Amino acid sequence: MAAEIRLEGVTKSFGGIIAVKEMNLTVNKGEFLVLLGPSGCGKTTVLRCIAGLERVDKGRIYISGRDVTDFPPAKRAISMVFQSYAVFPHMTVAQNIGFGLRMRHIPKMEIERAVKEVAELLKIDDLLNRYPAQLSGGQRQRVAVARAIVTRPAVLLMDEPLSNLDALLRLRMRAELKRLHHEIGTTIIYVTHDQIEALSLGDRIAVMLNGEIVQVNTPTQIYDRPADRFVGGFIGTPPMNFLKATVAADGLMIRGFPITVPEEWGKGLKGMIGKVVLLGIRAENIMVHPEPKKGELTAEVIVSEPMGSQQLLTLQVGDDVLKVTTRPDLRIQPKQVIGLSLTKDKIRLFDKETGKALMFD
Amino acid sequence: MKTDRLLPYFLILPTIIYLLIFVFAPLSKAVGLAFLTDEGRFTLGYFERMFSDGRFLEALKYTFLLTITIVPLQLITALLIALLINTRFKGSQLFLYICALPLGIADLAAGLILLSIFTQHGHLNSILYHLGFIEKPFYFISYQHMGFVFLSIVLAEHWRATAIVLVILVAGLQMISKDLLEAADVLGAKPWQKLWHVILPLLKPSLQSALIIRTIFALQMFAVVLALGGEIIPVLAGEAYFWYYIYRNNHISAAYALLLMVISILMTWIYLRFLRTRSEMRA
Repeated sequence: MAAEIRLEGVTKSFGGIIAVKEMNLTVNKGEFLVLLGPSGCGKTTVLRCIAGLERVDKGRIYISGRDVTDFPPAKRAISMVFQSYAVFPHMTVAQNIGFGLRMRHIPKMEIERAVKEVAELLKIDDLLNRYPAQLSGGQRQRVAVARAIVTRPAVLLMDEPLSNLDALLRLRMRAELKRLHHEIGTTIIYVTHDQIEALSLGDRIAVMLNGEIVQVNTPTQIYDRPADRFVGGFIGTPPMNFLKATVAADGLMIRGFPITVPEEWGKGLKGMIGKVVLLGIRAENIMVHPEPKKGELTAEVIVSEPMGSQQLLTLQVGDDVLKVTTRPDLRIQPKQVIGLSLTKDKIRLFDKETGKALMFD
Repeated sequence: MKTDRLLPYFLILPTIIYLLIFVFAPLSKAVGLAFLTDEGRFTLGYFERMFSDGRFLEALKYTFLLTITIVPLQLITALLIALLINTRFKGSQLFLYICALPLGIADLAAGLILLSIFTQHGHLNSILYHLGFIEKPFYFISYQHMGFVFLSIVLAEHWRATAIVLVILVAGLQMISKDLLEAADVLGAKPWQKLWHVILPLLKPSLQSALIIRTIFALQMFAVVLALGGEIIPVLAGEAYFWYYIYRNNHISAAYALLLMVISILMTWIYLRFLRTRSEMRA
């Protein structure tokens, strides 16, 4: 039932502005793939091209190996949930959910049964006779999802479905969507600009920028091993820290202090001695020592913010600003000079000019 | 507190005064004319006279015939053009303006323009003559060819007054969210299913307004009929006019006017009743 989707060289522009550039992407059968990127990166356009709501300028789109590039939406075995929900105001919840089946001339009895089944799955079976105007935003959202999955689409497309919900509801619906995916097993392509949503939902994440995919990988890989400076800075709260470091004979130096790096990098770094690179490290991979040890990288505390389960420090290292998370009970004062040590396995290096990750393995 | 409660009434006061002077006063005068003799006694005589008049049934028949021919025709034409314009093809705005142009033409002028086409020495006859289809002018507008007269009136009204329906429907279509139409697409609706199940139901308020406006004006149709048909085809509004100016009987004229009003109110009520949009079904 679930389908594999393949994009080959898909290009789409609007009035001379290229929204999607030569995009190649394969979404596996039954996978939950998240298209993540800042607004205007082309992620919604990709989704709309897959849905058939936009015609591609170039390239092909395959669903289950079938070339659907020139098919109208109705013939693509897809379904979609819109950011605005787009539930029909003149139909009851039951009529809304049954819409897709009615359009396919499914017998009435069967529609009724199917509607009831998905309504139960989404816990809206007590609302079937209501009109959308009588529903809350969260309930409308559930109707939109129910309506999209009742036709058992091979692919379910979701365009920022949670962005109009309040924070608490969003958290709950996120878990519900994940549960739903496990239960129905459909391939899902999910567009969002919210990196936390992407990390929590996706089997894989495709990070997009300026109409191109920058990196496709599992959430852990994207988080731990960003392909470039943009991905590192876009994903994670707080985003990845970047420090200027100089390549030395036996590792890296930051402001004259030696930094230990994984041994297997030695070979790769040899040819770069004297070059300045960007060292990327996440807030939770920096250890803080209130009393700096000798020969240890130091930093000045600018602000300390208690966050409940942890404490967020803003530090100054030379002209670089760092965000570090620590235990909440660590007593740190602004202006205090503290020592830092970096977890060496979590260090990532980037080219200072291109921002691309430097791979030594 | 007190001024807060009175303020709305204060604000609608000018409207109320206007309505009293220009609507209610003439209306009560008309009611008076229709039911009271010159001496001020109540009578149904004027209505009896109206109903028994030789032309009354004809006028009633043609008023309804014209209305039920013209209004649906206009609705369908306007809907088709509106759907076409709503596809936002290149130049659709210009097309809309051109289609809306007849809005600025007075009904009498429209009637006269059509007359200049269909009359004995009109454009149509001269074209047919030069093409060799006819030897001598054909009398389109005459008692012998009631069908042609009727048709030319329908044509004139259709050309002149469809634009108002078009403008209402285009506005209504533009209010339908693009997401709803795309949702219908991705959920598997074919174009005509989308039209029937999504567009038309959501357009209902606009269709209702257009129907009410057009029906009332079609019932009151007068100048076009007069210009094209003279007295060949009688209509209710025309009879009111003739009784007032030709036969100099303003009582019977008022009776016709009241009858027209009652029919208009009735039709409006029927539309409101049968095309009702329930409040919970609104977007």
